[in-house]
Amino acid sequence: MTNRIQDQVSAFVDDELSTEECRFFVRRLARDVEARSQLIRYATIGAALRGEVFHPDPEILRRRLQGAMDGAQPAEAVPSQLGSRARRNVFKPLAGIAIAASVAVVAIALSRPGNDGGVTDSVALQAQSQLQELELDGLPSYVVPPESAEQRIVSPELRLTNYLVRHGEYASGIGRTVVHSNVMIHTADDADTPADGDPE
Amino acid sequence: MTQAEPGPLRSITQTLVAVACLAAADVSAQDAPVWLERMNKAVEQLNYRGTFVHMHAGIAETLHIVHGFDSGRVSERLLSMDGAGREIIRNGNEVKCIFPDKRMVLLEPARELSPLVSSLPSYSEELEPHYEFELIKSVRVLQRMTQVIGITPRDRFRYGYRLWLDEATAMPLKTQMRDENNELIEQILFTDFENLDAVPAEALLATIDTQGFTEFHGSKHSSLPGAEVAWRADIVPGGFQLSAAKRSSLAGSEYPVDHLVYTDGLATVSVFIEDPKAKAEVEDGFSTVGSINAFSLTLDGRKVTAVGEVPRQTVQMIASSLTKH
Repeated sequence: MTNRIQDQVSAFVDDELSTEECRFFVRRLARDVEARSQLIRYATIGAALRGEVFHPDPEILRRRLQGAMDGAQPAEAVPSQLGSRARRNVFKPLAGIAIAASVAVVAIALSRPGNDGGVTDSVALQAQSQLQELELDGLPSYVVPPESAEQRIVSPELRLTNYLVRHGEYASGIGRTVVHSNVMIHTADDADTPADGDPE
Repeated sequence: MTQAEPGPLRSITQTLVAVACLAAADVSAQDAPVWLERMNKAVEQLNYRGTFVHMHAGIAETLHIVHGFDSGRVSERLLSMDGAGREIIRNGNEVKCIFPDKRMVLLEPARELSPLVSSLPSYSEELEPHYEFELIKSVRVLQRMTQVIGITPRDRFRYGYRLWLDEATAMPLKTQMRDENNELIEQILFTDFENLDAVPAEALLATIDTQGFTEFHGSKHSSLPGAEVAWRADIVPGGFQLSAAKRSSLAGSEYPVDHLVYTDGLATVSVFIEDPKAKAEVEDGFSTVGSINAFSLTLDGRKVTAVGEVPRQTVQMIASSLTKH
């Protein structure tokens, strides 16, 4: 994974791409497996977040998906009934993850070999229909129904980081510094997982 | 020329010299554990701040540390000066890990560190069969005189260390972790260090604005009520003993996780046993995070993961031998 792809995915999720860049990125998703898998990973993390706070701003969702799928000029942002900029900032990345998940589905559908226009249209229509539902809802925000406990997925990088932080509490003084330093430096999501099974 | 027969005085002198030499060697060997005890107290109980370079696998990262100790309460801020600028803050009973690159905050309960019930490993004779300790020499580091201590493992189940301990405070100004072939694995080197009378409260505050970050909370309790951990490792390397067995919840998971801690007094291995309903998707097999090794497998539908600053075979051995008692 190059830094450029990571940056693009991150910018997309953080709602930092322009409409044009967004369209370009969606096209890239259709042909770039690496970018797609990174985006899906973000979406998976989003799934792990469900059950926590998850109130994406529907206006951002509508704007971004519309811009991404049909090339329409994004509508002027409607002032959120939630009001405060702080609140918007809180939910911005979560909204991005939701968008990422939706667009990833569209991108996968688009890139599937042998896909005909009908299927593509069907996916797009479905997404549009969801957008209309959101608009008809008229609510300032929506809440994704909490998944049942059995459905919850904890991303491996978070869990491994959890293990290390907890483990560090039981290490000796210098050991804890070593463990925490490694948590700080070596991101859990780039933990090396060699395939070989034998230590020697 | 014939050698004169040693007179009684000369014989006594030789005997005294021999005894003195033996005593010096013994004191040297005994002093190393004493230095290590001093070091462990220093890293917990001193007030200090400093900057150190962490080197592993050819990568050097700079971190800043502020550490305070007041009435048995440890506060600490560790800040990565490079990369994403992550931050770990210990504030009494809580450890907060801030990952600005992930827009994520992990909140874990800190282990209670009491000067009366010390969490520090004790350097007893039980370590001797597994490590060789030596007082190597005095050298200057950061314009301070340091005592170099060597710790060499006697088997391949643990790492060795070389420590440069400040003679005044016993703080490790330089630390090297070495494998069984004496190859350098990891090095921590302070580039500046200041011993403080007290740490200003503001020096321990987070510098990263976490507004909008997602927070994951661990269990507020060190052990869930009524929890009894039935799992044990049947095979552990010599000297490793169970030092803690707790059931608690980890940040981001609603199911309890069983946590076993094995230590030989120097190296520590944690084993985490997930609830069968929890989908902690850590891949089976080996993982490494810097110098820390992890090994995961699935036992009776539970994900088991052992982690520690030990060789891969050690985490594999402990995790693989886990059974329910």
